[in-house]
Amino acid sequence: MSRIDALNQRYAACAELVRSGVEIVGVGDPAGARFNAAVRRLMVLLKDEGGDFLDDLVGAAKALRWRQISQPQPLDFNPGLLHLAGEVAKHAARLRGAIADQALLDELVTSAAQVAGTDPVVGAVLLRSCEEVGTENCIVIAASTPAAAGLESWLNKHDIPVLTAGELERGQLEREQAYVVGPPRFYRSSLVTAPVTSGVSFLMPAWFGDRSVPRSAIGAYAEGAIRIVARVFTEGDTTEPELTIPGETEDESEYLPQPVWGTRQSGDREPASDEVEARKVLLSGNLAMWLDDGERIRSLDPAQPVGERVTYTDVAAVRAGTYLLLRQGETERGVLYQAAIGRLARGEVIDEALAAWKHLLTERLQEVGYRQVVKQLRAAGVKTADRARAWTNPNLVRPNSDQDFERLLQWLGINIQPTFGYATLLRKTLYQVSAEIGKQLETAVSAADLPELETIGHLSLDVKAEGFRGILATRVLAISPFTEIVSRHDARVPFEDRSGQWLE
Amino acid sequence: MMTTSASPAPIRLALAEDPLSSASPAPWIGPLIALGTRAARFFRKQQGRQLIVAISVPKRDFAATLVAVGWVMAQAAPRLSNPLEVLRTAEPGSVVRVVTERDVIVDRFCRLNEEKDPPRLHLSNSQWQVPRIRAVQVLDAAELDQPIRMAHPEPGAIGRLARAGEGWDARLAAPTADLAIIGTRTWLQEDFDAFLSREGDVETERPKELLEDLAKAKEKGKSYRVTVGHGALLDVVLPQSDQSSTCFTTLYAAARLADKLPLRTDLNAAILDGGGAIKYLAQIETPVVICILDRSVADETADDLVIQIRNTRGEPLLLCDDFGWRPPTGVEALAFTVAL
Repeated sequence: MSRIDALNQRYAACAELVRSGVEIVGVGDPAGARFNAAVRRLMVLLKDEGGDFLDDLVGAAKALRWRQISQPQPLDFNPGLLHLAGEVAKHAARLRGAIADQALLDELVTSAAQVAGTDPVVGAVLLRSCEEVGTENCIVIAASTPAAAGLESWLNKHDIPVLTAGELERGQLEREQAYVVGPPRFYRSSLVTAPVTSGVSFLMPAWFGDRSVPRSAIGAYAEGAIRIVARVFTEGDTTEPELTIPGETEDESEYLPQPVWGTRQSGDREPASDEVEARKVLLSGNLAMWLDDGERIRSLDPAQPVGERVTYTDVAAVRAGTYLLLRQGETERGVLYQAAIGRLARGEVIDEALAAWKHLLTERLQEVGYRQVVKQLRAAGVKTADRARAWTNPNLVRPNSDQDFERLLQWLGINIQPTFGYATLLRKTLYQVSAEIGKQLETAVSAADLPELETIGHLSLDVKAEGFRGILATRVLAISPFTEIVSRHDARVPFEDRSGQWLE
Repeated sequence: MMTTSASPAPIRLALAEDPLSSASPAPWIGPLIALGTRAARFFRKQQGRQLIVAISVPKRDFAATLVAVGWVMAQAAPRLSNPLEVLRTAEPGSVVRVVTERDVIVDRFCRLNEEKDPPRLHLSNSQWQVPRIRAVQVLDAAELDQPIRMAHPEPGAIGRLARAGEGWDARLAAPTADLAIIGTRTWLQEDFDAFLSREGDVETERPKELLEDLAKAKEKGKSYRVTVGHGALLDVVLPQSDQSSTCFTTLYAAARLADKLPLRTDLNAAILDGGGAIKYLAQIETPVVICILDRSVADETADDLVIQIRNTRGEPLLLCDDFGWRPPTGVEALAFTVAL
């Protein structure tokens, strides 16, 4: 099929789904419903009691609940289910005596054992549905790479392909019907707004209450907005324990497996001159990194063609799923900056001039505080005033906008020239150095095993350039909801960390 | 659904991946070209604020290129003096762009010999009978490493639809190169190689350049490759390159854009194709920006960024009223202006 015909089919499938909607099948699952009720009670307890002592039990319980939804294959193909039920029992036993509600701990352990003792019912319905449509006409879509691997171990025997939503995009499978494992809200809207198949059905346990279908991100504001309706069916024994829990969260995402973040330790102070505000970013490979709001960070997009994979991502645009390129033990920005200064005829003079305005800005931040500085800069006409703290970073040469930079210098009481000219010259040189390094990284990436990177999540790259040994490509797993104050020296350098252990 | 309009059925356009295979008609081709044209008209009417249009498509293929085609075709042709008059006043040594039936050449002007009949133009590297020259323009550029000769771009079916006809050669000689296309270079270049036609139309007269290159490829047993002069979308988009003697657009790889900002200030519009390009939206200051959101990509960062700018700084527009444009099925669209 030509690329144009395939594209035409894509537009047609989209129109078809707008017309007919998606199907959601809720499968009655009494054992799962009982465990779910216990987890919900545990979540309320967590909220009331606070503290970190419940983290492991909550982590294990959420992971088991997630596994029930995302991997409903029979027990013979599902050792993880039994393992997680064991983890729930283990951590419940450790809490014995530590909380008042012993009955809740018992209920968690009993219902988890029950879940791990019977073949998941959703799995049976999934297989039957595929066989009804004809296994050659359908595909199964899984919520994550580990979930796809689990389901595949089972469905391969029935000649049914299992893909993640991302893999679906790369394949050339011509199938009519997609069965999606899990509720729509655990998937990106692309699955329903840019469908590959003309039919899409979601299968999930009936006890999972949220049946909303994700909308395209611009849909709420767009003309011609794509709205996909859901036809909801239930089947099997859908009786559930009667349960009214006061203070229970409505937000399903709280039940997703999450890293253990703890609480902010830094208090409410301004960072010192050698410190930055940074978010902890969990990375694949049991690593983490402090990401400060400075200049953009080198990243990798495996979906792009050879020669265009290495790029930059703004700090604010780094999300779970972004692949970062990190140097072990040192940051790229420091190396870049030194190389650029070294190339300039009056490098030291330029370096000093830049240090001078950054020093003044740092002082103002410490004197009057970040909020007041932003307010004053706004009044002075600096559009991107909220970047004030980022501009103190020695490696971030200047604000992007000429106008903002001029007004910032004026506000600091510094003559626009020669500082403005110096900074602009240095930025140009940095661009050259950065483009050269980009090319070397691109060469290393083109030789790397990208499918392996996408399966495992991290990969060491062999970069020949001087000072560039030990580049690591790694996927962002999660980003902390709060910042901490850390030493500038520690920012953007990966370190060992295990707070992602309850992630899938 | 009912339509109250009594206008005749719109022309359906078709695309083909190579010049010999039959083209596939599709209802989204025409509207995407029309979006580029409407944006160009809007730009000429209303200045002072930046116009941002975002459309989401099921998959990015061809969308940016078709919008670019619309933008380029909406440009008016410049009025140029006739070639003989231009050449009479040209300074020897100046750089000229010469458009003939088969070529577009940039070279240094040596002299005009009017003693011959017909008069003859001498360039540093070639000579031409003046009546064969369709348009000529003296360029400001003082530097020229070496003469550039490129096949004459053929606007084909799009040219006929837009009635580009007579002004085309003047546009090639004195192009308005005010559009930047930013995205995945490899993919965009693949898109440029497609051929556009009217549904049901059979191309009776193919460009000579195409026929010759097809014959050459066949003779040598090599696979055929699209170049300028074959009548593909490339001939209308005409991206700037080292080998091009005239251009309407500048193509930037999104992956390298960070090292190229800020963009040239003489650009009037930028098409940002996909998330990799849209992430630079806040740093693009062209009066018109058109974002192509690819819904087949799960990452919604680019969508969020567009919405954030719309909601914090934008004044919304209605495409159906302010533009007279409706998105085709499967396409979502929104537009707003922001202070520059």
